[in-house]
Amino acid sequence: MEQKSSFPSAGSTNVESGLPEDVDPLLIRPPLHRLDRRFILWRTLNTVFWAIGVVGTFVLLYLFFESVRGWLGPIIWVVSAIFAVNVVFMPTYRYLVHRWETSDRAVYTLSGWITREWRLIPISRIQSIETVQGPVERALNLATIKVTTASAQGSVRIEGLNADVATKTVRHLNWITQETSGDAT
Amino acid sequence: MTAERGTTTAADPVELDTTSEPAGAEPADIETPWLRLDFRKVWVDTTKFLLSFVPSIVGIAFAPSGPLWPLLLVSAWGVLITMRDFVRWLTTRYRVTDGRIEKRSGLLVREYRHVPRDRIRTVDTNAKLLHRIARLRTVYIGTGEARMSAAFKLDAVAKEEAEELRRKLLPVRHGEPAGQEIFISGVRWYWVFYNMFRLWAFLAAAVIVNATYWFLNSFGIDLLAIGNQLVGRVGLGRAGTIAFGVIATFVLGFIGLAVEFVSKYGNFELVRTTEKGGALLTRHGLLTTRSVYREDRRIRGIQLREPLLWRWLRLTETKVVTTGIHLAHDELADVLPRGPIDAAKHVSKYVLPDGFLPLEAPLRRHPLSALRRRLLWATFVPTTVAGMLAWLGATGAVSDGTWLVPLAFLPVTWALAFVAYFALGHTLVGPYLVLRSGCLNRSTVALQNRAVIGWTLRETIFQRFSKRITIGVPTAAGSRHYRLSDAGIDQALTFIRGATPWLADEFIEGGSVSASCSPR
Repeated sequence: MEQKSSFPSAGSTNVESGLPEDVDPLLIRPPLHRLDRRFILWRTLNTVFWAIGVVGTFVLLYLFFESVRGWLGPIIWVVSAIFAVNVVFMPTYRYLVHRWETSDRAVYTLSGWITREWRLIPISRIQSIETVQGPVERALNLATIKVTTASAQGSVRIEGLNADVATKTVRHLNWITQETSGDAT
Repeated sequence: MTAERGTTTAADPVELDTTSEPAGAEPADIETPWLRLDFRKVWVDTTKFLLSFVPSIVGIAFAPSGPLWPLLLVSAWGVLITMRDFVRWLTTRYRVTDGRIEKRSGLLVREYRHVPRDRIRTVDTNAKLLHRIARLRTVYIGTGEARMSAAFKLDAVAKEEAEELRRKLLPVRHGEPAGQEIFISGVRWYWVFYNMFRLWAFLAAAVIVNATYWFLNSFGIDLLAIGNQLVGRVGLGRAGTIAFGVIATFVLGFIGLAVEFVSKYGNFELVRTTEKGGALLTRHGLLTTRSVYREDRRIRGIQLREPLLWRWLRLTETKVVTTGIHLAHDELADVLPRGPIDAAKHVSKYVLPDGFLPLEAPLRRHPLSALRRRLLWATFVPTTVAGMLAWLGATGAVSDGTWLVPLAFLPVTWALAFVAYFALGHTLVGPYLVLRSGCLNRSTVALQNRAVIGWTLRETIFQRFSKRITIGVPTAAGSRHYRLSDAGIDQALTFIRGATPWLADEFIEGGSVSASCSPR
């Protein structure tokens, strides 16, 4: 009847961090592979479309309705600035950060730019594997892999892969998934 | 099963057909006859049909001058529902074959449902008052992962038939004798007080008061006029009357909730049975009995939820973390109604099949920078809102002075920030991960490590500077995803490595050389 905590001690786990760090602190190893270079172009196009849509709507409202001009003006400036930063910096930054990896045991990805997110799924828990290609992606020969598990928030998306690499990876994943026993829920 | 591009399923999701296609008949199906629902349902329906006329008759008899339409509406609704139920009874056929159970129903809209038998996770029986008098039961068959509208319902079958169905569909394992029960917990009378004081009592009571007003109005009794007379006589003044009204509604709500609790949870019993290879059974209800089975082999942990306002009462909701219950039917996982935390901890000893006590262990604190973050947010949000209101006030869209209102909330948000920080904690006890977080609802989850189906680590830019990280634990049980916010990076990685060393090896390195762990 265990009831005391069996927490292993490693590294500086003290709240105040006054203790010296362990010689070998725990680190998260980033996944191995980078995305396809055309990912940058794809995200830039995506953001430009969104920018035109959102800012365009606001500008139309601004032009047609006198009453909202007072507070809509600054909002348009702020939103445009955010989109400008996004168009110029975000795709390249994301390209430098995003990584992905599939091994015989797990699918592992790193994504994000200001906020980073690491996701790991063991192969034995995969419920379905899907490839998705939007129209822009098809033109650029890119594809997205979606891997789902029994938990909705436990799913993984790998965007901006070269379409051939994606096909090969999905085939490999299909093969391993069938070799490994089911989703064990 | 595999395609070049496209979807592959490692485990087929349940496909519940509501089209009118006939069953892809396996040879054995042709022989199995289709069964009808029990004939006594007709009596139940007839009684309900007659009863639905009562409000109109009484209204016409006693107050022919009052507005009749609400009563007619009620009666018409009752009649429609009864007719629909009758048609459904008339046209429904069901049968249990070797591989699946099937149901056909409907006159204008034909419905056909089949559920593969190995997907059946829960078989519940429900018995409303009229059903009980006629010795009938309504059987609900659930598959856990199914969409909400696809619950398989048989309304109604004879009591013996319902038991037979349950025995057939959830087979007894290892040929054990059915129904040996070990009593775990009941409900004490004073738990009424834990359940009747809820904030939304006000809303519930307001709805009831409104309904009563219209109902009595049909009989020519005007509640508003009576109320005005009373107010005039007592002479409380406007504010006093409003306050009195609010308090009275709350009290009415509390009483209503108390009555509901007693009728719903009277005769409550939480037992462990040996049916189905071990299951947790809850049976409760004064007038209508609801019994829910939760198989032991599906239980993955336990969760306590403590609402903030009742922390001083040490009140908690107890839920068992289990697979096989759809997210929308979450209340099936409740093993105890709201009650004292000591009862919950006592019960957790028996609920978890392996005898660990993960809820008793002390939890690790998270770094102080988590408190700083919460305080910053607690200050930032009201001041930003105040700033926006001030700007809007300057441009004339909103009246001046409203920007002071959010600032008045600052002490409250600061207090909540402290509460939120001290609620954070985590630890590992045997095979269990224990996570605690939440401000308005402090939730403590103890989850078995074999239920972890991956890890999600999230680090915002501020967390990167203070060396904190948020862990998400996806799982196939319970809420499907549990979160541990703002743990120190070292704490977090140690936690992951201690919880699931086989997964940690995939992406965490450093620390002491880990012993080889069995890969999963």
